[in-house]
Amino acid sequence: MAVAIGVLVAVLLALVFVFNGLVMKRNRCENAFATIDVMLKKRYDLIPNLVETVKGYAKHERELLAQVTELRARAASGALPTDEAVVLNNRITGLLRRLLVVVEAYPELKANGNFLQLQRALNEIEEQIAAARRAFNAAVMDLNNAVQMFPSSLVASMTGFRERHFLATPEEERGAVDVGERLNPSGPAADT
Amino acid sequence: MSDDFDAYYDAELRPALESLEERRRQASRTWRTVAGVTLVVVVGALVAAAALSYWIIAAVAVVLGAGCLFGSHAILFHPVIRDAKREMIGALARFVDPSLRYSPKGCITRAQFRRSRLFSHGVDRYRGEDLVQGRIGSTDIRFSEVHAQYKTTHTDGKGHTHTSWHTIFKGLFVIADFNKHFRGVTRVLPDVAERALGWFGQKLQGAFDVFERGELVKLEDPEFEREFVVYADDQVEARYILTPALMRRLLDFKRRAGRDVCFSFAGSSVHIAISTSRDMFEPDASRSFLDRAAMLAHLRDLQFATSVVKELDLNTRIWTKE
Repeated sequence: MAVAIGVLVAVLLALVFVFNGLVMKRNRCENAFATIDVMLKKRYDLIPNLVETVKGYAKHERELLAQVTELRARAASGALPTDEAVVLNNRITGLLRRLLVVVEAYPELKANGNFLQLQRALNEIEEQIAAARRAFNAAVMDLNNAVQMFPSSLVASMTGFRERHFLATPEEERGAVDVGERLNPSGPAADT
Repeated sequence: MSDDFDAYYDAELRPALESLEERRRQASRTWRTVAGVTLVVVVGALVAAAALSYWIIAAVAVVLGAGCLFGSHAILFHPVIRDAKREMIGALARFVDPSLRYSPKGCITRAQFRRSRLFSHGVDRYRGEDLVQGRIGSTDIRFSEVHAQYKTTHTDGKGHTHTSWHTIFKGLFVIADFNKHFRGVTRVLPDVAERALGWFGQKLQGAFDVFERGELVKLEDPEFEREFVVYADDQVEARYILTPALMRRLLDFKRRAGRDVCFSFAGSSVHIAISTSRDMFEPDASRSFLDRAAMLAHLRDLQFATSVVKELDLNTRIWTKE
């Protein structure tokens, strides 16, 4: 009898332990996702300034600028489902990259101190977003491992824990960024 | 590079070192005379001791003779080596980068060592020398030799207290300004769990203990994960610092160093601890100070230490930190 109770208590404790572990892993995912959101919001705040600054110099890029502004407005409204928001933000990333490439044609803009400052801030935020995205993926991997691996998979299926999707890296981000070369022409390019 | 060095050697080093080399030869001659006389006296004393069967004389003569040899060596060579070191390493450092300044007695301070949070063990004895500091491109850098120890005492059955000293870290310690802003601490340590247990790893593991390690950060690069283990205060910040590119660079740096290296990112700087038992930046008084091979060895050490700026790409300043 005592042995049976002992075993039961041990099993219960193990269940609680595994369950709490799963909750912790899920919360880490949520937290990491929220961090991405914070970084994206920072970028939303930066975009209008950037657009204004570029507008004054780059007369021929109106269409690109309008597109950035429009996507930013839609993404910042916060009314989108997660999947769409991810796609939208990936498109913004791509457009901002294109913007930084086309400004090459405007030497006065590149000499503008305000623009250089914004460009630095943008690089910083892009790097932060990439880091937050990687942190999220690491948290998802942890959660998914726990959901799929025995014995925590038993607890997960009983309590309704599900796997989560990784955030894919946008296609444009896989290529090398040459912002470094533009900022310090003599220095090495950033190859992040 | 080698041509550059030859020109620099002829223009700067040789003139500065020639008089020191003369002093070294002078000291060498004097010491040989002292040694010769000492030897004759000691042998004489031994013969006398044998003849008189009075062995206490022999013992005293040998002890005094040895003392005389070592003492005169230190008295004669120490000032020469000290001056040669200042001239030679100082000039070599300026050759590596004109901004670099060398202070033979300076070192990375105990507070700076502690701030790296690389070694959590309390330090009881801290020594260092050969501080080099300057600015390479946009990056402030300083490095020195450091030897940090802690002590343990135990009392034996007879009531005698024994103190033993244990090394926490001995080697080259480099601090360089990092090119991004950050707030917390991120530590990149040799991964002893995934590799065979190296002595340094074991030492580190002991030194780190469990407290204050921070969160374990799992990164994507499997090769990096095999070599290093990362602890950080903030998961996102750790990845902001450790981009895939920087992970490769840290791996390459470690391979080039050929020994265990650990890194920490704290207080807006990167701290690099490279363990070595070798005493670096010491001219050898038994060889000519003008010996080019010895000088090149010192030059390589200096270039290795300063190479962190290039190897970790610290001069790329495209983020908000200028």
